[in-house]
Amino acid sequence: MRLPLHGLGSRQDLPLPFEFVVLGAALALVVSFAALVLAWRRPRWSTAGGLPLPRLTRLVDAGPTRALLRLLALGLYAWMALALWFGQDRVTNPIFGFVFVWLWVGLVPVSVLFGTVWRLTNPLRTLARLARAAGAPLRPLSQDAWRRIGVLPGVGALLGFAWLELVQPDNDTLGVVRWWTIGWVVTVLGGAVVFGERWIAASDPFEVFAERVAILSPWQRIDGTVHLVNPLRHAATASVPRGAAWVCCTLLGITAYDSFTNTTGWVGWVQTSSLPRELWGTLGLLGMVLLVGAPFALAAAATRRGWSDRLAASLVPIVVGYSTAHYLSLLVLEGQRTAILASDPLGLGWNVFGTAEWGVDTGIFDHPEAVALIQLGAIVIGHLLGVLIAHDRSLVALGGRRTVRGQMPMLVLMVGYTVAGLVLLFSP
Amino acid sequence: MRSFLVVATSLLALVGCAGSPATPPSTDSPTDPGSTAPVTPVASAGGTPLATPSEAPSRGVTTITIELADGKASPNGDRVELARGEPFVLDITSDRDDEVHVHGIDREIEIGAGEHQRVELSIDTSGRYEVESHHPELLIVMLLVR
Repeated sequence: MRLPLHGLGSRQDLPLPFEFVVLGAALALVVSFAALVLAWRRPRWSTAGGLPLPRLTRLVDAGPTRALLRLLALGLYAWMALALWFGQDRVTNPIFGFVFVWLWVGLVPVSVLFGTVWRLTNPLRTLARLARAAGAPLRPLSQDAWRRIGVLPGVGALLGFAWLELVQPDNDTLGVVRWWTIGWVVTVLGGAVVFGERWIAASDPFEVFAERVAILSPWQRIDGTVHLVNPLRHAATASVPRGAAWVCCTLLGITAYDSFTNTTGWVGWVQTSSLPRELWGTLGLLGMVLLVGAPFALAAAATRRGWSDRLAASLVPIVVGYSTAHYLSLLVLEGQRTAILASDPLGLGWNVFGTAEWGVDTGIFDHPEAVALIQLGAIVIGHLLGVLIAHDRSLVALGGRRTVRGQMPMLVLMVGYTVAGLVLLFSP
Repeated sequence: MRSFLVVATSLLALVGCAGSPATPPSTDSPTDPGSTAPVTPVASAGGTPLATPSEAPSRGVTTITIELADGKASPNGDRVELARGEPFVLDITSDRDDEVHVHGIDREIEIGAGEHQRVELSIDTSGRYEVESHHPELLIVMLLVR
């Protein structure tokens, strides 16, 4: 993350040691071809299944549980809205850490561990339901229209958020974050009032992101009942909205762009250029998303035409691995700082949650080698899981034909992503 | 140039261990991972070569020479390697009123037009830290603290 001027995101991880880059690339290659040659020959995860948990289902579906979760989430957002509209325009305002760290980075571990909790607690959904109590959607869309829309509006919304985070000047000032918040509420909530609540699943960048990541969680709802499942089977069998592939490629592109902007070459180039840096930022961001997305589209088409969204499940572990490698220390450091600042949203010396006296524990940074090892592990494990999902999905896509050769495009692509990600973390 | 910087600073780090002064007691809030020393008086407006860490004769610490002129920064986003807790000096000259911000330890150094300042700092937590100017916003140096 790059928020100029102020404290947030001001300390970043050291570049990955070069030996780690070589080691990671070698591991990725070995794992990939081992999976290709040694792994199963018939699809293993073509149907959903796992351990049914009817009592857990009743608990999470109970009205009071839902109401409590929604109320807690709504309360948290309302608290942060207080900081956004009435707090001080300083870096000690918790809103910046809330938006850029708790929401954007925190939704990844939350969704991997707890599944679709983001959708269940989305405050815009709660508000949309309150609004719906006043009347039906103004222009409801047909099932067919919703299928065509998929999560494509969410791709634009994700790019919008990335632009705010990585390109927008003065994104650490309240005025800028207020305008973006208004834009977010108007497009997502307004669309829900007009077209129906499904618009939120299609367009809210946080929910679109969280729902993609949640297919890696061990909790899957099968025929209405929550099951404890193998996360890989979950990812392979989860329903796939139209545009899922572009969501994954956009997320990878955003993280890649974030790394790329830290390279001395890019910084030097933009700073000496006579063109405005917002232009370079916009071109760089879109270019990086295309650089990730175009090869994926080609590799998926080479596997089987029209299957790109269904093959995109294999990118989700890579998205999670990259996110962990890039943002784990930010989440640890700024996540703590935000918790401390949350006690005093208006800068009046409050200590509402008793966190204001806490100090930020920076202990993990005494071990930069351990941080580098975690980064490497996250990327390599993400790659391994991605390759396994891709293998199984490809077997389904290929229908028993050319099972080895047919998998090559996806495999080469994934090795390419992993090596590129490692090189960017090493960022010369 | 960059690899030269890396080698030079690493050598200096080795040499500096013997004679570097103790870091002054920290006066920062508990959330700051680093410590800072007060601004040292300007000894001379000497013409040190740009972006070259040079050993200040009396101190034996890494010096990063920063020149802000015509809306450009020198160095221009280069990397400098440091050890944890190692003192280093920012030797800053500017042709306009500006602030130089060391991220991570949240140290703002105000500098007036035509002024020259030497500020000694150290960072106790490993990581990559940006040193930026604010008028205009430019990334001057990335500090790699190992």
